[in-house]
Amino acid sequence: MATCEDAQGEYQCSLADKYILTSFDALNDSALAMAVKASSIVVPWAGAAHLLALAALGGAVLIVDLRLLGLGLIGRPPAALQRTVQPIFIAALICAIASGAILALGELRKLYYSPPYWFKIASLASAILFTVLIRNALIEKGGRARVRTYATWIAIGASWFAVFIAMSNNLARTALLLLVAAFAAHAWRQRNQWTYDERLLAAAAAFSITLWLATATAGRWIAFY
Amino acid sequence: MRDLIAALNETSWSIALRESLYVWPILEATHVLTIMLFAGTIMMVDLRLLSIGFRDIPVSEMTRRILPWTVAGFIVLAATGLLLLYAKPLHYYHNVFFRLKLLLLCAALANIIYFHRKAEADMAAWASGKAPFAARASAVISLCAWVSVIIAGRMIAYDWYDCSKLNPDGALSAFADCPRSSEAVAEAAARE
Repeated sequence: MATCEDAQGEYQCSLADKYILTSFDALNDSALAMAVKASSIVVPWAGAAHLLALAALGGAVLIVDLRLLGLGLIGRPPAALQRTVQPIFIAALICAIASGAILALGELRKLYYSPPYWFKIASLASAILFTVLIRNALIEKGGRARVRTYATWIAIGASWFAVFIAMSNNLARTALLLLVAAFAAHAWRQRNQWTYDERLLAAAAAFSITLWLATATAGRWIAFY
Repeated sequence: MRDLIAALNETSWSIALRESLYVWPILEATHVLTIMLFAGTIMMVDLRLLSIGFRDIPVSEMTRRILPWTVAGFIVLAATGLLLLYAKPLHYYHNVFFRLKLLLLCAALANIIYFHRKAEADMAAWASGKAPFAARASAVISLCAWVSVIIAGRMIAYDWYDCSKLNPDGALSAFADCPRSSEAVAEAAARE
């Protein structure tokens, strides 16, 4: 708890209201946010750019993750594919964040009170950390993991799952269960073909798809909430 | 045509779909998210055809291993898209961007037919190297067409060119098959 101040005097408020809401309000009154809100075309074009970035990001993530799951370009070493799509992944991520920031400037007050938005931000951070620290590092090492890798993986997974349980509705939980069931069924079918290292890589791919899909779904859900 | 669409608009399933709390958002979200699978994979094949990425992978391997995923994405997009259309048929029928999207979609699909019929014909000869002009041109058209389809699709959500905001005798109004001014007046009078 913290103490906030308004025209009527002091009152008890949350730390988020004291620090995050005030910075959202300050941003909301900035010249840039004013300009975004005053224009009738900036938000629609930023929305279109956001979708195109999503398409490229999805392609770059899926090309590698499908390969790790034994699908798609199965004749190619994952490390080579990963290095090829890395520039697309980085460029698409930068475009998605830039266009997303412009979209956010247009409705900061709504976003501050939007659970899908905060889940999306948390899930995006988890997805980026997981992709860079775990998935890509594992691919480079051919699936050989050290204790530190497992520990980081569990930390990212547990914090993502805690946020998911705290903020999701039963619809989102059902969707997650179905996705996990699909991955489990695929792993069962491939059980005799994978070595331990390959299983770990496939698990990382399933985890990566889940995090990126959750981020994108939550992003779309901001408009429906 | 418009009478048929208007009748479709009043069927109980159509009303149920557009007024549903969850089904419409689920369809819409699935439609948008499947862009990642569909456009994302088709982009990768186009980049290979243009020798921008995946240069060490033969084009034939890319099309064989990746295009089935693109087709799967397209099936999901078409199914959810048709259901979304069925939910608000009259709204989309008069939407300028929806009509533009359909035209662009036709161009993109024609390009796919061109690629498989003509550009791909002698692929065995160049699959491991640089694609010939026809195939590269097809890749550029594909990238431009799908990017335009996505942009037009996003713009369907905005009402700048709704019938009520267009000059009833203008070209855009004719393009969207909006009721002509005299018809609109007659229709409004009939409703009174």
